[in-house]
Amino acid sequence: MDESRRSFLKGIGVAAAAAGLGCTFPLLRALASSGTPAAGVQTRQLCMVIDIEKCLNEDLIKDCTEACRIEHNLPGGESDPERQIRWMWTQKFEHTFPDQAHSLTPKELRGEQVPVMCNHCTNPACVKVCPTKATWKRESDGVVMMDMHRCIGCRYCVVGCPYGARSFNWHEPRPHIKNIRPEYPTRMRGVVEKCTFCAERLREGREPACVEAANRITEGAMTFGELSDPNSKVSALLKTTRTISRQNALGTGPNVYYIV
Amino acid sequence: MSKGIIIAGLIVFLIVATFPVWYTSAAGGSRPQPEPPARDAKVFEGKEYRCVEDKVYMTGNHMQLLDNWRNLVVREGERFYTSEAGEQYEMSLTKTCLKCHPERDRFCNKCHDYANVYPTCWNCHVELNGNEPKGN
Repeated sequence: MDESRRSFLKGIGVAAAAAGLGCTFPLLRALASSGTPAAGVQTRQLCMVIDIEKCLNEDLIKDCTEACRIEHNLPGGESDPERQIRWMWTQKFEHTFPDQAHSLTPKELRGEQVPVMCNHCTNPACVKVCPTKATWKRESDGVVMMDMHRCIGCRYCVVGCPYGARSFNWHEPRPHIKNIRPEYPTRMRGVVEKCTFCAERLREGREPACVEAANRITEGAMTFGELSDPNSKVSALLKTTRTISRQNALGTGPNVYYIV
Repeated sequence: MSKGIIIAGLIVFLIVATFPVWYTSAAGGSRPQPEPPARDAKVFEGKEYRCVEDKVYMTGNHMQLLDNWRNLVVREGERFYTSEAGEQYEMSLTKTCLKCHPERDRFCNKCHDYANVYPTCWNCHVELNGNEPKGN
């Protein structure tokens, strides 16, 4: 009797030890595979280089934003900037690069309107917070995509994005679109939208609408291309010119660069 | 005595049970007839187009096909679909499907209304000939 109780207790001990070890295994595996991916791990990454000086041209900016507006059926006529739908817009130099402007930055430079858009970050904060994977980083080209079919309008991404690149549709957008271009869908009330580097044009091998419009006015105002290809135009530009990107300290790894 | 009642009851039961079937056909509620595309609507830029897959397949599976296209285009960034017959089509509701079926009232809605299904495609996607808000 004693013997059997003894062996029974031993058996329980062994089983508990085995179960304990078993539990730690997935934990160990998770620990081994965790950690944020370092920049450059992405196999392909599209990026944009914007020449701030060449973009100091009202006509150019107007053409760019208008090309984007028409291309993607963006609604207009909203005066409240917090309710505007914008994929690409301009803002003052010191607001775009708060850590670059200082008290002695020339007045002219501070007032400069810099074109801004989604940075298609290497480490996008918006993607991390999206509960439905409606926004995700596309592995084939590094574009931070939006799937309007999946967006539930929770606006976590709007809060997560440190660049203000995302807009929420507070109203039904259709009544505010002048001429709807049937080739591209509109959005509906309750979804978030943003620049997708013109994914629909990339698919056809064309450059984004803003790049095309900008370069029509000033060649080289915006350069678009493959960051991971060392022979691409953007790679050459980034190697040979002084460029900055927005709020580097945040660790998002923005992929829109600016020539100052 | 009870035999007669049982048979009469059975007949009544059969009539009631099959009521939806014969009532629908008697009331002229035949199958919906979505308008096939006009002959000349199928020729673009000198090339004749056929539907991506055959009619029977499309009738039964267009929703899965479109769902699949949506995922391939939006999420994978792919562009072309190769049909069973080996032909290539651009995966696009607007650029491919709507070329032959431009009006949802004359095509999509015919069956969707009948089947009482209301897909939300048109909340965002736009018909080629305009954008008037319609039923579904």
